[in-house]
Amino acid sequence: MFGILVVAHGELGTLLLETANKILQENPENVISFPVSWDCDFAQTKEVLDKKVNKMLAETGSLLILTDLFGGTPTNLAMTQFKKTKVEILTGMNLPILIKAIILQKTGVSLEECIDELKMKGQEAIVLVSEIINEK
Amino acid sequence: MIEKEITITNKLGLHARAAAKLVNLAGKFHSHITISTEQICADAKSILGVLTLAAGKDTVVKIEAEGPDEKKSIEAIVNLIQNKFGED
Repeated sequence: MFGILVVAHGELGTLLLETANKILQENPENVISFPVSWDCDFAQTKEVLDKKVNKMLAETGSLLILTDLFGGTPTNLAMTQFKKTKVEILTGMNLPILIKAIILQKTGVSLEECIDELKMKGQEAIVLVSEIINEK
Repeated sequence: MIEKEITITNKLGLHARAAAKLVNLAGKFHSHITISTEQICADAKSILGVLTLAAGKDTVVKIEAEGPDEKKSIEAIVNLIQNKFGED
């Protein structure tokens, strides 16, 4: 089993997680939001994140960090954890990725086995409606 | 293989929470189950797949099941849809 840590600007990650849980009607274990406040101190927040990641890794063995925007502070913070073994960072997170990640986590599949599928499913879920529906 | 057509009748259609209920139910059966509209066919055990149907109220969907418990699975899913996913 792997843990899931949602690292995002402000309350975005918390709200996404609440939404996913509401849809799935679940309250999954080891799926946690790590909000990054708009005025955060990078060094201090990195320390807090470091402890959180280590704690989750100790509990689950591997960790998926989902972040909102490549180049943004939450992702930059997450990338400080990149060198730890058994940590994968997937950025550009959306609700479908989070839902899929929670479902896959529950199946017991390893992070290594499902990370490519997660990325693919998140991309597939971006749909230009006019490409699939012709009538207007 | 068994198939059955049914109309989605709840106000919000096959929306996210309804899809989650359908997928949870489908996942309890061993049969391979699909749900499709005229345009799209999805694995009934995949929430992201079911959501791609974008099936609103009054959409006719076809449920197909193949496997050891195909009859029971179709009955259960049709029952869920007929009961408007416990909504309305």
